Amino acid sequence: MNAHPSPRFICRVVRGWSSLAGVGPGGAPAGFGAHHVETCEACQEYFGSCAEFDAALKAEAALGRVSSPGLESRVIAAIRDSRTPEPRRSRSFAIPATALIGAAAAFAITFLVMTRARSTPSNDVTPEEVVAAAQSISSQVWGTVKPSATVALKKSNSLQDELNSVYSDARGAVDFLALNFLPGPGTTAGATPPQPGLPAQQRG
Amino acid sequence: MAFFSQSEARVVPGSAPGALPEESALVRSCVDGDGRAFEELVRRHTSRVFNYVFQMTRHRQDAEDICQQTFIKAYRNIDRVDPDRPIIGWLLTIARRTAINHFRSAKAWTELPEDTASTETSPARQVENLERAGNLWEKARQILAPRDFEVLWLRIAEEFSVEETARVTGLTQTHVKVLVYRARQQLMKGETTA
Ligand SMILES: [Zn+2]
Repeated sequence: MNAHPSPRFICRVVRGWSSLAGVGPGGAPAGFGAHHVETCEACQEYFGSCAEFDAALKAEAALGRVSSPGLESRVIAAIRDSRTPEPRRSRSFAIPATALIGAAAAFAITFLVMTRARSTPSNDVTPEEVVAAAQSISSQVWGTVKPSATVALKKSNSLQDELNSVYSDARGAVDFLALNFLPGPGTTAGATPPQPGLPAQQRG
Repeated sequence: MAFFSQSEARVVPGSAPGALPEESALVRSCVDGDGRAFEELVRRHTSRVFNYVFQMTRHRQDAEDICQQTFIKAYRNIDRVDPDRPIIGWLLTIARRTAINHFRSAKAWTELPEDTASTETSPARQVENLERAGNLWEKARQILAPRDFEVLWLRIAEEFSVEETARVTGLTQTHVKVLVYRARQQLMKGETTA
């Protein structure tokens, strides 16, 4: 049953327009619509019904809310689980791993230097080769080490900083070892290394 | 219309557009690394997040899981939230996206039948539910398209502003207004013809 006659065109316009420009859900319109409603009983009744209907929806939404006992506690427990152990695991694993790999790299370079110094005359190696070999070894070692360690620590900025620091120090040490102990032309291990970046003629 | 008494220290739906000063302070504390402040936000908003997801899914276990995932994601991304806005809108946005991922597609989220996500509802069953339903929201669920239901729920039950509703659902504000108008018309017509 529909007790309401079909609204006039102007009434439909006002009602539709009020939904876009009105003061709220079910609220009376502003501007020209407000003037129309003042003089139109049908629209007064319509907007009154809208307001009542919205109020009923709100009331029933409140009644219809369901509770989930213990959910808050479970959520809090899950958050606590998610925030504490993970960074510590990453740190305890990643830093020793970095140190171990760095030591292994240093050992490998030392071994190469010793065997190469014994087996090849020192004047077979040019400064460029020394620099290239050092940079190659260093890049290969650290190219594999840094990404994995970085991924492991990506969730912690402070740990990331620490890793970067360790990485920088260790890479410096490897470069130092490579440049000092790889044989150069007419030099023996431990002599002053050539300066990377300088042309060969300028190097001492 | 307040859903919770003041003594329960809950956030009342419709607190938009500006965040309560107390909530802003909590969010800022969270950003500074105060885990207890976030736990307080969990206590304040768990019920609303859970109810929103439950209203859309009608599946308690899924709603609980999605609610939990929502807060974990929020905790990890708390530095992205604007402390000067009510956090509930942001939480419901995360909840909505999490639910969509949970059901693997937006279609699944918007077409979930009543009571369980896996049970199909026949037309006969829909009529039965409609006759049985004494609650306006049950009728709304039966009559309205899922998207219209969601917008109406946010706008009226959660008392979200048009802007907040649009933000959560990804619709334009004009679209939200039109959907609310249309949904109300459909429901009121259903009421008068019932
Ligand atoms: Zn009129």
